[in-house]
Amino acid sequence: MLSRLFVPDTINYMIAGYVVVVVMTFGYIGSLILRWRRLQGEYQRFETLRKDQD
Amino acid sequence: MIKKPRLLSVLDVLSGMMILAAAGLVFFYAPVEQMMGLVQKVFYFHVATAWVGMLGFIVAAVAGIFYLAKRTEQWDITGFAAVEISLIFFLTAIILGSIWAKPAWNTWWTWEPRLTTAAIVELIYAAYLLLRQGVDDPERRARFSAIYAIFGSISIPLTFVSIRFLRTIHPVVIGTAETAGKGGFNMDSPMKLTFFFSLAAFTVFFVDLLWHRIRLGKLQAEVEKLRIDTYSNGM
Repeated sequence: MLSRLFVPDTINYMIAGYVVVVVMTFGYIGSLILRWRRLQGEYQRFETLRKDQD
Repeated sequence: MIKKPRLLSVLDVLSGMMILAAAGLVFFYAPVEQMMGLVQKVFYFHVATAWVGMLGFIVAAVAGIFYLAKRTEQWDITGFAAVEISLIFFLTAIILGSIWAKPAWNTWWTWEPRLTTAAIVELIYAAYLLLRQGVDDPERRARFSAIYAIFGSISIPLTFVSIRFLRTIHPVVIGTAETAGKGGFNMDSPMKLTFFFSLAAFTVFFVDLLWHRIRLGKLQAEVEKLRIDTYSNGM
């Protein structure tokens, strides 16, 4: 009971930690999506160019 | 167009659900640790991200061995993908550790064995990316990267054992009762369940991301070949 009264208030650190997890994870997933879309665009462009050359 | 495999879509959903479930366990099931308060809940994802980081570096070393044995582009792409993902997770683990350290040790950073070796590992693999950028010839780049990843992986066990054999303030969580005495804290059953479920969730998430990143690497290689074909035919 007494120890429950003295649990330190560290909620801000916990929130900061999980904000870091969310930002890093979604940031990386976002970078994967952007790079995929850019490469698919390039892939289609080169495919069209190659067909035109043929 | 490169079609997305059905199994990868299943893995996307599974990993997303497992990460959400792990977060649910962390916030609503695991009890609040009495000495540190709510910041201790960072521990579950701190260890899970560090584990996945180390796992990826080991995958990169194994891919390096396979590349040197078989000389196929597939293994180079796999190694590169694993290092990139692991750098993100390992950096997350380091930042989470720093956030946890502030209320626990009253400092954001201290040059003790675990933190120092973790920072060295992160720098070693950041240099791997620089190495890849510095070599133009794809075959040489793949060979150098494979050798670098194999030698770089030596730093992984050093980081893991650093808190077991050297004087440190970093808690030893995984180990015997003896190691639990080294600044660790006793995990009760809900904490253990949350901890091991988080490890499993991040492992599945890592596999999912690795598969996506390998597909991206293959597409990149395809585009590069098309670019060379197009310009060499056009000349």
